Amino acid sequence: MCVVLLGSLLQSACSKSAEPPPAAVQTASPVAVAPTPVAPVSPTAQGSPGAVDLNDFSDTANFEWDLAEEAEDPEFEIDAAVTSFYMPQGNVVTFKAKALNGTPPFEFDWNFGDETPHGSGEMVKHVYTKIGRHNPRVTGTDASGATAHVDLGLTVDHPVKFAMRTQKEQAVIDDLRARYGEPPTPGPTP
Amino acid sequence: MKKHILAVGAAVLAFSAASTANAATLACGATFQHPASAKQIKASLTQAFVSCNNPGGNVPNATTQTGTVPTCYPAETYHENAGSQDGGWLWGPKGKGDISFKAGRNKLCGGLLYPQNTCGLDESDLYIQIKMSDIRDNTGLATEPNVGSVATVARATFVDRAEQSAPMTVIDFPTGFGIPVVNGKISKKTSATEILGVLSQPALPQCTVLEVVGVQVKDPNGNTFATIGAYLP
Repeated sequence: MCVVLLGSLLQSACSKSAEPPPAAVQTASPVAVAPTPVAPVSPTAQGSPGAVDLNDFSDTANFEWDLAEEAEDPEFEIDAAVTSFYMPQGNVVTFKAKALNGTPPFEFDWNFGDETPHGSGEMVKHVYTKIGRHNPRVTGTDASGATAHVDLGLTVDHPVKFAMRTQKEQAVIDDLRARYGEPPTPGPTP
Repeated sequence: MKKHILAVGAAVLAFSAASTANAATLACGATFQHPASAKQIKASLTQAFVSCNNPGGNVPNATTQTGTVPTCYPAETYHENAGSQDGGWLWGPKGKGDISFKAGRNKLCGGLLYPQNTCGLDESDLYIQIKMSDIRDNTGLATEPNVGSVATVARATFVDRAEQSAPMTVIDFPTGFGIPVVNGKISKKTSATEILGVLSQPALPQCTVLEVVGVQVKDPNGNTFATIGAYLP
């Protein structure tokens, strides 16, 4: 994956680290990730347990959800969206589903695509600890038993690579490199 | 070198990001020709047939009713051309589909390590959504584990982050994503940023113009099943 057309900067970011990440970002139950070994994280990995409330959706109060207004067909139809399709490992992502027709009440089952327990409800939050491409799926059911689904294709990346590709400040990148045992950022490319 | 590297990195899919709200606050490094707004493409999908008299297509062997226009008779789908393999997709009596490309924003968050540094940084993105229904194969309604794919070719023009003096046009760039089918239905959303991330490339810069050169829906056998077009009843 990392053998790409970028210069030595990104190649360095893609190089595997022989050193484990610092204990501050490790959890008690390491999670296998691919393709690059990185630090397992959890919602409480910041050192302040409880800082991330997976039931608090206030941070998305002003988020512009990309959801359809109405159904195109008479058959039961739902739409769904996610706050980000590309994120670093350990990011908290919020999903939202919406019934476009059908008979209420509606139920939504969320398969996050990473072999973790399913979620339920119109809005859910999730933390991806596995790097890779995931295909979370929400399946909606209305009162008549009709079902509809939406797949959301998203990618979870190594925090260092994510920071570099999203133009984060160099200090952030350097700190992430240190946390993940990677060499410092090389000098400018001639 | 860096110019070319970043150019390829941003080559996949974008739309007129100049139309996003965020773009209004950030000036492009250089000016170039683009519409003030071009937020969305939404197009119907129709059956794709093997072309006639083109490289890789069939050889003309007939003409239309006027006797002057060459044709390939009978028409042939890619599925048929490949020998009608099991698992190839077909349209059911209610079969239809559409695909949309919509300019938007990606709420890029840095995660638990740097939450303060991240969530406010929205970047240009392109939401891609495909919906199809009553898709069948030799067993009836197509369903998992069979997975088709969407293949696109895009031509992006933008002002690269590393070279602000003039815009650049990236080589036509092919990419795609998988589309699972459940009981004959496909409903998939993803984004250009996600696709670029898979390719280890940065997100598209603001003020990007995208030309959609081609869109193909391929069945689980890799045969082109549908493309953008119309059916005239």
